[in-house]
Amino acid sequence: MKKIILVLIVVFNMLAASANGGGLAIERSGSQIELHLLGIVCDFCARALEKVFGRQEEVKSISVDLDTNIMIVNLKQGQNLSDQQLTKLIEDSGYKIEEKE
Amino acid sequence: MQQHNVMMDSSHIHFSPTAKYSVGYKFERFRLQDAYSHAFQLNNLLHRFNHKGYQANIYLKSGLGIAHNSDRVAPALFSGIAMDWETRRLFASYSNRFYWAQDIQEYINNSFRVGVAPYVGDYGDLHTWFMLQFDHNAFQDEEFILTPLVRFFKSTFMLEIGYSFAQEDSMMANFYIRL
Repeated sequence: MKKIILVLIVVFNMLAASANGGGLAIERSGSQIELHLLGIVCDFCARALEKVFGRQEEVKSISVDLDTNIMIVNLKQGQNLSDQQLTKLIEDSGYKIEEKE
Repeated sequence: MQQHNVMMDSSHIHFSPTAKYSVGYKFERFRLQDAYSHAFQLNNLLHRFNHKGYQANIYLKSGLGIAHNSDRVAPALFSGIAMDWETRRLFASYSNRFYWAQDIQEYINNSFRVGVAPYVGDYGDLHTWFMLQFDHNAFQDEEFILTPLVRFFKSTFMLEIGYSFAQEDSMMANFYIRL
């Protein structure tokens, strides 16, 4: 019975992971977070992100590359933002984080 | 936002608490009727399509206020849908607007616009667009208006200058600032 439950849990988790597309395109390196975004086509988009992220005390600075749709978030020393917080901030700005393929 | 075209001069000052909606004040001067309109305007982002390489939006824009000319004051209301689709190189939009102010002013506007950017600018650059706008105004003397225009866009400022071909040709100028 335990084996059956274990197999069901593993299968469920695999299905959930595939439905999520493998998670969000967020990469972390030290105090830097790289986000792959969708819908970023103009300067106004980037300004909206600057405005929303600029209000966060954890954030030191951001930069947006319109060619690659990549946004870099530089965090203040000792600060962090969870994936959930990042998702909410991006959605508050009006955009989406790309899902990993 | 300030706009000047064949039919009217207008100003719209609005505040967006979230990306989903904005509230503001809209002033319009209808030159052909020598009438004025003051309204509270609510813009709702009904849906945004965020995809790699493009973005599209559907808005509902509605307002309620008063209109007046030298003889009378009347309640005024307007509503319309606006849609746009944009990449870094191409742009297309459609909007409609029904405006009613008793005997002072009434019209239905359908507006189409297409645009192309001659170069793809980076973040912070001066962005330039060449656009063509076609307007149809029901219940108005100026029923059909064709406006080639150029859009300049830098930082939080946007300026559009065009020339409208209508019964009475006219310059068009729009200025937007996002704070």
